[in-house]
Amino acid sequence: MNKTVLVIGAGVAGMEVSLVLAKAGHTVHLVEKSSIIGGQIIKCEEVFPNMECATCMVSPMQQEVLQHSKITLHTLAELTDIKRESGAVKARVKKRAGYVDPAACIGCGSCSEACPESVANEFEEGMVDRKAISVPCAGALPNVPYVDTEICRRFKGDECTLCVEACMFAAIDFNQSDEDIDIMADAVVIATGFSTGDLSRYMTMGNGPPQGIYSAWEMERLFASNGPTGGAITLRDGRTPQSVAIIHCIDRDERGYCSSICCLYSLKFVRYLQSKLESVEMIELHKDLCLPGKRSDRFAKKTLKENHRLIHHSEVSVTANGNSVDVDWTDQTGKRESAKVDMAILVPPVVPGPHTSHLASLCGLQTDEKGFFLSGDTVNAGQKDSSEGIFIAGAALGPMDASQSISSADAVAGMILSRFKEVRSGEDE
Amino acid sequence: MSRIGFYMCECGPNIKDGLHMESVLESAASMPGVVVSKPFGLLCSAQGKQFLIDEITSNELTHLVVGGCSPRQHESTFMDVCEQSGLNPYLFQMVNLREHCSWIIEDHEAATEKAIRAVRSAIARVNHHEALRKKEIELCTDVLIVGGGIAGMEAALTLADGQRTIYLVEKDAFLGGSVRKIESIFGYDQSGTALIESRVNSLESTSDIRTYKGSQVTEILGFLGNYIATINICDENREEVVEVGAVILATGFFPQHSPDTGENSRSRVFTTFEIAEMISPAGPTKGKITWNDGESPKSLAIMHCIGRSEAGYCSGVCCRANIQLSLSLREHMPDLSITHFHSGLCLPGQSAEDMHRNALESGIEFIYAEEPDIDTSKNQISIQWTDETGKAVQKNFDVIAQSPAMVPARNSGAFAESLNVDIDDSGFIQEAHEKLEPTATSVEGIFTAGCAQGPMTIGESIMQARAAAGRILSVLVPGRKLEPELRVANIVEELCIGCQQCMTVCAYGAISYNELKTVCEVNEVLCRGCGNCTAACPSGANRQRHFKSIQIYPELCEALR
Repeated sequence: MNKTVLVIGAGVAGMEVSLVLAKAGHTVHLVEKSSIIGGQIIKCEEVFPNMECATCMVSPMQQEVLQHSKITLHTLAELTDIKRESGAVKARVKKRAGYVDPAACIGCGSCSEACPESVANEFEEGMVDRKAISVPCAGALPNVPYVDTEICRRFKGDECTLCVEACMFAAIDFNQSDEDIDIMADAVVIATGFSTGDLSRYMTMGNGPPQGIYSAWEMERLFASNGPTGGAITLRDGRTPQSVAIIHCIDRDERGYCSSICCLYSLKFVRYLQSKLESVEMIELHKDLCLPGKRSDRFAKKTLKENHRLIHHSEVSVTANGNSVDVDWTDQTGKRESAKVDMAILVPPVVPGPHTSHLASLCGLQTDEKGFFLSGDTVNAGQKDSSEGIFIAGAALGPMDASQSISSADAVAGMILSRFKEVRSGEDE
Repeated sequence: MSRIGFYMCECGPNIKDGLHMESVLESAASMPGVVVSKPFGLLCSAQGKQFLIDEITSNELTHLVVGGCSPRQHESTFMDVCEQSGLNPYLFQMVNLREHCSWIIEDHEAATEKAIRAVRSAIARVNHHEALRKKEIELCTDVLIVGGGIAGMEAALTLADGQRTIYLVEKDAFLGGSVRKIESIFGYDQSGTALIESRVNSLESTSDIRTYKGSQVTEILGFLGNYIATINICDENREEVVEVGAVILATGFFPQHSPDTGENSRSRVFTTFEIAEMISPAGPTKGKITWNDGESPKSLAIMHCIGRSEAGYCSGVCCRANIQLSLSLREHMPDLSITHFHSGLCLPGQSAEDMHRNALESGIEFIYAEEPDIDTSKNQISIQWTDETGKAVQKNFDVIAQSPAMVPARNSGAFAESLNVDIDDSGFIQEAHEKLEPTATSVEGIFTAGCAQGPMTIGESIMQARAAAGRILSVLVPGRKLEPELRVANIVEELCIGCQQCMTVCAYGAISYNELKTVCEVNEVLCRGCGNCTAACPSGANRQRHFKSIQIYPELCEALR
């Protein structure tokens, strides 16, 4: 019997759980708050440890989600209400108007070219601008732009029709309005992913603008071939960095936990830098290398060249100083040292997604001490989920890499399919 | 006689403005067999699809070629159109005139020239296409699980739904694997024994799970949906043959013991797993750690990362497990002095550092030491190390617990290899894809869960067990049939010389040698249509449907004209 599942979040975990359930023959409503699917991984050029192209890896999955007849995708949408009704879950999803008809749009980008308004592009960490009508990046899927009502002139009383005129397919429709979609679901999966800690206080330390201080996400986008520099690792003033410090474990002590994935992706940054900047000098400061798993040590060994300075620090400070960055640290023996580098990459903690607590209270779910969703399961894996019919998958449960997210999503799909069968065998009796 | 229709999508300005549509259409129209050559604004739109359906019918087309965007985007759209028009979807070819021509070539002349070649190639090829008909293959929904540890048991419980039989085979006389013996587990408020017992109870009350203890799977033959496995029930000295649709390998891990370091070591050098078993009230020493004929130790050193460099990886679990072990030792034996020797702590996850802080606060010592010297020749064990300032330090202990690397269970690698399942450098089962398919293996229909795939925590093992079960439940749906890919290799028996070249290049184990007929045969369910075997065949017996020489040569001739 066909059941319906509501999946919140279309990152790797959300896409995977949707695909596994849809392939089993069930109907899936996949709700995503942004205009595109793929989640955080599509910001990465490559993934550790095989340095595989991330977008190439994920794009077949994205295509499958878009083309699967059992999956209905709701982009620009958020869960606003959830109720239990006679064994099922009644959910209300608010879908914001994107003002572009996805059936008519072919993603040519003429509207973006014509649009006169722009704003910092969040997908590119604000390093470049995007238009009021745009897709976040080249290769975005679905390749359908949306109108950002915060900056579009039409929403400020202007009668601008430049994008409408530029569109060859009459795909832009300013008569669209936000809608509430009611979905009766037999199960709900929350796969809202993670976020990373705010680094703004580090960006404002020192004299003048943080010329050489970058966050890990900024580094990802600098290296990305579809990123703001087309993949060139250049500093804000256009220089190529000759020396780079990668600083792990930012705010780890304050947060009280190790984010698990950062050591490995920091090593990936070392590979990035080695591949594009031949003679770059690197210092890597960490508080214990966390390299769990059967491939990690080998990946590290292959990555770390002899001249690579790997320093076990207990305390570090980063200060912008003119064109360079001063990095001061105390090592494990208590000795203070410092270095002047062109570029410092700060590796932030993995933190709960921005709407976690809101979503938790909406769904009556608990969060753990660190603010991630608490699954009855991780604590006590012997039991099925405690909040009947609501399951959590992926990094919404805590820091994890893509492979763990996929396992977690498949596991949730397994529990749901297993539960559906129980319901069915009950009905048969 | 062929009646080929060519339709060129303008894709708004995207193709129309990037090349000369007219020249491409004219060149196509001039080819033999082409009866229509027309442009259209946007073929993927609803109007475009209806236009194509009408055109196929009214022109009585036998073949269709569409020039437009990437086949990745709309090939399936137009194959659906063919089906709706009663045209076999494999009598269709798509040409990428956008990503391959108009978008990437600035010069209109050059873009047009490339487009003409691409379109002519497609027309030349499609003329030789054959209609491929869908096939359906029966599948068995039962599942075999090899290994009755926590992962195998959890997978069995997730799969059991009253609609399939699950065969759970354990080589030991009891279920529970490594977890059964562990008293205290990080992240859990239950002991390992309790985790296992609750599952054993569930298994026993589930009639469609058939458990074979003290038994071994000796052979698995077949393919997804259609495996035949032989179970050797050692105690009863008999074999049972079962039919299953999928297999889960949950053969677990083995704690790699380090060599003894001295003659007194037997009574004083343990593994952390042995200590974990000792503190269990149900364990061999009834919850006490003893040495020298029953004496309680006053000091214990826990040595991390034993065998890490030989294994070549960090097991990722031990630091947390060792801290948990020392915390429960602190409870059992409050007077015991406990020291960890480690070379960097690996504490992933939200609660691990809290646990570490608790340990520090309760007086458990952590010493950073790379490769400390252990001397067990004297009455007390002496450990010497160099501290971070370079100073040599020495300390004595009554007992040491070595935390060994987690390595694949004995013989698990050989067994997996006998099934053609790929093994990684460390002897663990290699995932089908490291990121996207962590529980699938190189053989379709054979999955892996838990430490058979690599060192992982109990929670992760349980997660993987459910994940493998989820993947299986999604494919082995009762009442459903398998629809294999049609564009796969096949071998013409009369031409095959039985040289088996094709078998050596097949990455999917899809080809087997028929000794009776002395020819090779392709299993069309397993074949992914990569074409390796077709290229390797010296006698031209191996052909790939939809990519036959008679289709590829005319295509190449037009491209290189």
